[in-house]
Amino acid sequence: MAVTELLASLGDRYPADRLLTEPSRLAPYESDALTAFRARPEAVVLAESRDEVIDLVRRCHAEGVPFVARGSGTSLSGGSLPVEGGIVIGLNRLNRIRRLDPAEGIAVVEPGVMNAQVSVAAAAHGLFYAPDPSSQSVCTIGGNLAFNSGGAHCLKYGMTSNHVLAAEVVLPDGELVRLGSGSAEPVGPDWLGVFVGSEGLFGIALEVTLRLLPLPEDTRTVLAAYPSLEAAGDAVAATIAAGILPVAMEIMDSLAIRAAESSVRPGYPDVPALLIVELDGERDAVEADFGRLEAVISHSGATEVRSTSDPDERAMIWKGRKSAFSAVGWLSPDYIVQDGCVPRTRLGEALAAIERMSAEHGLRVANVFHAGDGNLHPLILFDGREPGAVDRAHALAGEILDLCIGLGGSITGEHGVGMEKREFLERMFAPPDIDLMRRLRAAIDPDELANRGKMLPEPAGDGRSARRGPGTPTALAGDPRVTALSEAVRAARRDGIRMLPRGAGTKPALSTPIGDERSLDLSELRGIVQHDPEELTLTALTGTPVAELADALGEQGQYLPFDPPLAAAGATLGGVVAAGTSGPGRVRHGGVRDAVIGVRFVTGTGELVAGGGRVVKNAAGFDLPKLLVGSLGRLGAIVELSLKVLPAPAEWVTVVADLGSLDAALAALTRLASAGLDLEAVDLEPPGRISVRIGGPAGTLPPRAQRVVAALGESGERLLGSDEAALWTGARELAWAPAGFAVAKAALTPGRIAAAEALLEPAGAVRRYSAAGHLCWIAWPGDRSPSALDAVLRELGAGGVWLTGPARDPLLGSLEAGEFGARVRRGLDPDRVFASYERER
Amino acid sequence: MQHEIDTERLGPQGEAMAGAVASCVHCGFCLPTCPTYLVMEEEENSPRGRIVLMKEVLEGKLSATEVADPIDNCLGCQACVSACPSGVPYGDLITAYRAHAEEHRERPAGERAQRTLVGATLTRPHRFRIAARLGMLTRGLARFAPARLRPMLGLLPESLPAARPLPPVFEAQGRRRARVALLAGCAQQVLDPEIGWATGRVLARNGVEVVVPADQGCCGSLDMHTGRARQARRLARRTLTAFPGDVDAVITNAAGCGSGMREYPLLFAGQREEAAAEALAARVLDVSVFLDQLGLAEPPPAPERPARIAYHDACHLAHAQGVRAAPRRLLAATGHEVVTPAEPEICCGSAGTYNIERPETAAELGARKAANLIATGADLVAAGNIGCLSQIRTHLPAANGDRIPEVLHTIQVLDRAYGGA
Repeated sequence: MAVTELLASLGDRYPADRLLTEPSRLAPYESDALTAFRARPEAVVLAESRDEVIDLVRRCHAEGVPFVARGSGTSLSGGSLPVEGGIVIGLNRLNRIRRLDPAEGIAVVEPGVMNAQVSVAAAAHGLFYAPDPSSQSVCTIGGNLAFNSGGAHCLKYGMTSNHVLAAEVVLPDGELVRLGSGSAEPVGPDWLGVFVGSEGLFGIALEVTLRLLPLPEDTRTVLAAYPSLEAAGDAVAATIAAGILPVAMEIMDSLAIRAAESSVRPGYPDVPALLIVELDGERDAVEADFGRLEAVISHSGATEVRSTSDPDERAMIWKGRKSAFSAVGWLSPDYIVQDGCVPRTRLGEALAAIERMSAEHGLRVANVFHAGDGNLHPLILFDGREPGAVDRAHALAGEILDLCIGLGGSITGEHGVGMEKREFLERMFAPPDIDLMRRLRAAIDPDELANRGKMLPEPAGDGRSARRGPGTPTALAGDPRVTALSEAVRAARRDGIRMLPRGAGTKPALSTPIGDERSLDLSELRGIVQHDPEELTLTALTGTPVAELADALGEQGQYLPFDPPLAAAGATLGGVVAAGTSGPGRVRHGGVRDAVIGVRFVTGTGELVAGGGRVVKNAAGFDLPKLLVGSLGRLGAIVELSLKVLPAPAEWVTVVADLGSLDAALAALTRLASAGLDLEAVDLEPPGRISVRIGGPAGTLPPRAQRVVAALGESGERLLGSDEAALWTGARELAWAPAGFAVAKAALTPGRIAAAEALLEPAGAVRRYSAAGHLCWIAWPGDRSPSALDAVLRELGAGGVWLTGPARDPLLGSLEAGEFGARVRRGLDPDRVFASYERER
Repeated sequence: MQHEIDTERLGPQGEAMAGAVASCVHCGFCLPTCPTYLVMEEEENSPRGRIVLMKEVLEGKLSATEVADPIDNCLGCQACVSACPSGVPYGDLITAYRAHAEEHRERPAGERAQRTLVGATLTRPHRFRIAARLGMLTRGLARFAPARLRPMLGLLPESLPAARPLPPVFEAQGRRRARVALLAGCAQQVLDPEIGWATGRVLARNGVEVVVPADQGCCGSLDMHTGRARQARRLARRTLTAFPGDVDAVITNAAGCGSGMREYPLLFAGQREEAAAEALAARVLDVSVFLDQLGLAEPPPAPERPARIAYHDACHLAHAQGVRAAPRRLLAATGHEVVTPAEPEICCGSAGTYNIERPETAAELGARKAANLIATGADLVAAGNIGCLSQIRTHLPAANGDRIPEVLHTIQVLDRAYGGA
């Protein structure tokens, strides 16, 4: 018996007070926060160090015993449910914040650190950790990572995935890997991006580097009462249409309001629907947005409006909202918390349908939801003692998920699939999509030891009736261009030919074939598939030039916040995503990895598969869209992409100042970072020239520009209009790179700029630092050896990628894709149809 | 949480226990506020974990003895009740469960002897005084004492104040605004009789006539909270008859007593005293709440040198009775600065007789509390519970502060502001 042997060996190493095996000690671990499922493990081991976690995983692997990692056990999808016959590795004692570096804006934490602890520790430095699941006072960072947790403030800040910069991971067989570089700018395939949200199936994070943000200078919370959910929903749409991007927009219905009032008594009005809108950011910007929001709300039919910036009052409003799930316990002995997403514009339709279903089943449904991103949380109330009630509640829950899928949404916005929704994953995704997820799992964990039984449905057969659905419908399935693409890949696989996708060829270092590689031209796959301005999402085919997208968005007052480089040169959407390139304007809302929400691509086996979706919040299945960002065309051929887009600032101002020396410039960048300003772009041209771009509603910028000047400590020059635009066009089009130089980008952190300068300047490279130093552009003299740049980046401990210049090995410097990357590639492209990352080495 | 508890079998408190289990949704919001989860970091030593264990025992799947350790580790501080969004009445559950389990579990002889000793002395001022004196005399021999006795000796103060029984009545000064009856307390009368006097004086000065019923004794809360329901009922019965019905309120100045008396209805559920218990419980008010509601007749004169007071939330005030603002308002009325230490929701480790039964955990929590209090830079620590005062006094000296703040009952701070005796 493998388990018996394992337990005996554990007994030698772990003291009895941390190796729990008696029934009375295991019982409290049988469930997480989804008590509908319970399972008793063979043992629970409370690990006290990173090395112990590694040791436990290796022992499990050696004996073939499955394991489940558990932090605080707050999963609402049964994600940390123990597996029978396996062990639970308790991570809650690994709860130290190892390092908090305010200058770099990062915290390095152990997986058992509770979410809110990070913000508490960071507050002393004027920083915070943005993702805020309702359980943030107790849920752990390790769990947040595994389930890509969201929260009420995702609308502006994004999910966990957008705030994790690096992780050390033990793979299910005990292999150690480092994913991510610690820079906000990823280089190469986003292995970290696909690890986040993998629901524990890819291993256990041992140490996590989190991005901290400056605490907003001002926060305003508005509470508006409405006579109906529909009216509240219309107010949300009107707010978005007005080009306001609140940090959160929440709606609660009367049942949810009553639950909150029974529990924590936040003092909500007793009305059919309540809308909570929060704005945060730089004081003047919030003031301006607040005026516009007031105008929208005052025309929205609200029966009562309260607004506050008082921290205690705000805390009370949020306490009511964040307690709402558990507070429903006051109204009903039992309930199911559902979590699904629909496109924002279909919210009203979805709520009406839920109301109808609720009546049909004779069950009350309380609604609390993140209206801003279409993330519904219907709470189905029932009494388990009533015969048949449990079944009716589950049937209703299932219908609601089918509804979400039917409306083009997702079966989970943030709670994950876990145990609860495994079968629904098969309805949201088509068979090839699911098969690909299985192949990835098998490539990383062939024995299915890590969190066995979660997320992926049991294979059909064995008496289980498959609930397979068609996935999200797409016209691409029968598109002759796609068929031809699949055929080409299959033929290449058969004939042993290597393929290298190409869009417009604006980054020739990445798309020019070497040797017997063959170019796979994707430029014919062009056109916008969907753009609904109110939705703030856009879907387009891979070969669509980003300039074309920018024009279409511009007509609606929207933009691509990641500022795609080489747009004027003709760069395609697929090319930008595959290269993982973001421009100088990525500062405020993140890079291309933060904007991509869905992908369809052809894998190395010639199949068209989908990952992600078209809704901004989606935690269903592996995060394949992230993986394709920066894949450099070497993991598959991207066919279609869905993106988050945002309202564009009406006006821009840029302050350009020459600080004279690198030291003075770095000091100015530090001041700028802690000045509480909302910046769109911050570029440094060494030694001392800094350009800072801000944007906002018309007429609001002069005082804000004054604050930029004050932070820089140098009067500088203010640019407006076409001069202003030209400066950034030049930056983004790489116009500053001298002819005959090849351009590479490298991922850095602000603290390493000085070291980079000391190495790059003597080498004759022309440098430009974007995103306050996270992104370093290097123009390398054509007559210098490319391997010299590789050596420089290795010395800096930074990774890089060639963009222009001759075809060569694309990746540079220290990039530890390691074993994890190799396995993912095996899963996606078993026969290596696509070109390799390392051709020369 | 679904359960299979057969409530019929469990007597009058069965429904309440099953209801509490059913209302827990296992969300885990209680974990970070539970003192034992903080120091032990085990699910079984969290409120949510204990609820599962109690459920298993009540269902007959585990024995009371098997789960005794984590149940005994619970301080009963009820921080989880404050944190719980689902409104699980954890305090009611654990009190009723402990009474139920007491009859179904085995305790080692030493533990039984200790419980008997505590029960026989602590709640009886006369015996407690003799026992404490005896203990103080023999403290030098502590290392020869049985392990169970040592923590009790360690907790004894350096010296005991002289006995100073309260008068039968404190006459209201000026116009009489109210008439109340005061619970004198048991251990408090031995450890710090001045608290009772200060209570009487401050109330009297604010126009309140305070009667101190002669027949009263221990209110039974200590026994109630440690599973000795029979003993608790005996003491509570006496309290029910000792207190007159014709007063505006029954005043307590020890948080544990106040919350215990408010739990009388559950203690007497299904018994003939239930109605009387409800009537009394409805009139029990902590002195701070009563005085805050009544309003000070005149505020105390402003201090010459305003000091910084760190207010410590006694669990049985803050969590069990929801009293947080009233004592702070009263303290602020003295003209001193009132601050709250970090982790205000975490128990100081006193918790009734917990520091006798679980000395190591109690000491860990005491040190943690002392460090948080010292970090406020306060000149004075105020709290509304004798157990907390003793525990904090014990642990402050080791907290390495520049100076050791004085530790007083909230009402003593007011009494001083008014000029004292």
